[in-house]
Amino acid sequence: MTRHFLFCLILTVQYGKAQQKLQLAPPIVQVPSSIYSDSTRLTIQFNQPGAAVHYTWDDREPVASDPVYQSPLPVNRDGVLKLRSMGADYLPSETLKFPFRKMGQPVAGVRTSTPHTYYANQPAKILHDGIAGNNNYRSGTWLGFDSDTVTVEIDLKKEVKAHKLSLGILKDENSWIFFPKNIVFYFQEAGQTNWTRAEMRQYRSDSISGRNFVWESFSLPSTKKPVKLKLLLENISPIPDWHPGKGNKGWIFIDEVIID
Amino acid sequence: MHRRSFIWQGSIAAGGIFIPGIMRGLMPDYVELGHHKKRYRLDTQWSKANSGTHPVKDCHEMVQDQKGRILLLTNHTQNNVLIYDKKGTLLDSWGTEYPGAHGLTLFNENGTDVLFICDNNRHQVIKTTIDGKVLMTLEYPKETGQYEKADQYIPTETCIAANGDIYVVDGYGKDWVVQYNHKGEYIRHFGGQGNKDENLANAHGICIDNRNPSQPCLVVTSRVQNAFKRYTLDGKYIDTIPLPGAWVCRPVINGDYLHVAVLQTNARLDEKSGFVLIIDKNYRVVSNLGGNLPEYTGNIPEELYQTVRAFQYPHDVCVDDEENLYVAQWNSGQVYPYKLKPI
Repeated sequence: MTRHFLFCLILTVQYGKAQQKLQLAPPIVQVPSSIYSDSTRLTIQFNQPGAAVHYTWDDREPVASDPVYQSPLPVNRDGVLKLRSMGADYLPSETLKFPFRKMGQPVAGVRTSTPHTYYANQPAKILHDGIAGNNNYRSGTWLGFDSDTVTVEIDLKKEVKAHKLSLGILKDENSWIFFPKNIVFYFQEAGQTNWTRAEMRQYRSDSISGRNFVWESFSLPSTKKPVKLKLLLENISPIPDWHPGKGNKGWIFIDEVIID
Repeated sequence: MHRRSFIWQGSIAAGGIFIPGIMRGLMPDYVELGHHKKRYRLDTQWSKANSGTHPVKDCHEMVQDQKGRILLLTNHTQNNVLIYDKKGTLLDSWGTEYPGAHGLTLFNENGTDVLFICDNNRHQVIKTTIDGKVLMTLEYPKETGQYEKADQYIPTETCIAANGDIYVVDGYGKDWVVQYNHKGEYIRHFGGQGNKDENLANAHGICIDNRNPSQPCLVVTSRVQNAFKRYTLDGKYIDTIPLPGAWVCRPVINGDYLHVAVLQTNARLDEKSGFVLIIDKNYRVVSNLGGNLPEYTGNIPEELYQTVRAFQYPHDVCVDDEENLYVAQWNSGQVYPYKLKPI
């Protein structure tokens, strides 16, 4: 009887304590770019006794049985690396996601509407410099816009037969950075002066879901032979009522176009 | 990290560890933070203040007076200063005139405690008695020739030398350190923005380091540069103490150690990624409350970062006469200060 009582008491104490575990922070991740030509390498810093960084490549949330980061990870395939810090005495960190893409075809030129002066680092080059995927919008690799719409136009090289356009987009509602309300994809074939609308996508934003870098891809039928491509992004502005910044201008952050 | 040091840290110290119940029987549970001899038990419920009657907004800075009371400065104008005992019982409050209350420094002036408040919104430094009576107001320092109007001056911190000289850092303005005598008369200015070693970027905090009595110096925060910079008491640049990754706030020296709240981790901006550092006489990090303990290459530590979410945006540390720590936090959901007791 006494033994049962003690067992129950310990269980009760343990359950109560479980509510007080600290959450681990996510690790510090360094990667030159999420675009690779042959391969790239991802390095993690996380020095917390009793905790480790687990990762997956198959789109699952990492769990304790998944591989533990031990040395720099070579990356030579398209996919999403997910990783988070875990330890028995802690609540796991939030999951970090790193979508990797192979370098696309060269382009003749890229033009955008005018970015905000704070986030306007070399707008003619930065969207096609082979460097992307940094989650830090202040890193200088992003173009940031608080305008109602954002236009991205790409001049294709004659020898390139494009069938897919991908655009890197950052989402971070805590920093008032939202996915566009919609994106319209246009193309122009040789001899045309008007744009042909290929697709329009709409997006919803109704909660804070964390900082995420996403590749959004648009495809063309194989019968089309475009010489120019265009994306028109519509800002969510004003920020909707569910968000602490409601009524203010939202932001769109983009970096890098890939032509396949 | 070397295996040897990992085992050593894992057994007796950790950046933050929860002590579970079963292995420890029925001992009271606690969260333990820190490394080496500087480990602490975290108490997030220290403040007994009623948020209905004594609300806080940002909790910016804290000091202990000669009666042993703990004073908190908040920018909530219902009660800019909350006065606690060390157990967290609210004893008194005052202040409705400081909408930009940011810096709080206590100075023992010939046996009497006086306070210096930096107000970001008022663009002033205000000297008061311990119960809030205004003794002196320092306006924007036009004597420096660096300012055309008050708006350009956003003081964040003061420190007071033994002779009464007042040093003010303009941490959200032009990053000058402005030195006055005890009457508030301008003496000189130094620091400022630029690319030279002696320049500052976000000069958020300042203190006097007397740990080497033959060479007292000023320690000034250069927060965006993730560093402290040292100067002589007459403003000559000495050297830079790099703390990579750490958005250091105010340096607070107690005994042999410098304590500093780190607002956030450079690699995780705007993500509540703060921690608290304890630094020895040789300016080496010996404990990180809520983060990693760095290895050193020469005088430069590895990048510092948060490893456990013990804090959100810590903004100041107060060390009391029993070496307890009190941590005030900015923009952290109107949370009252936490207390950390040494283990």
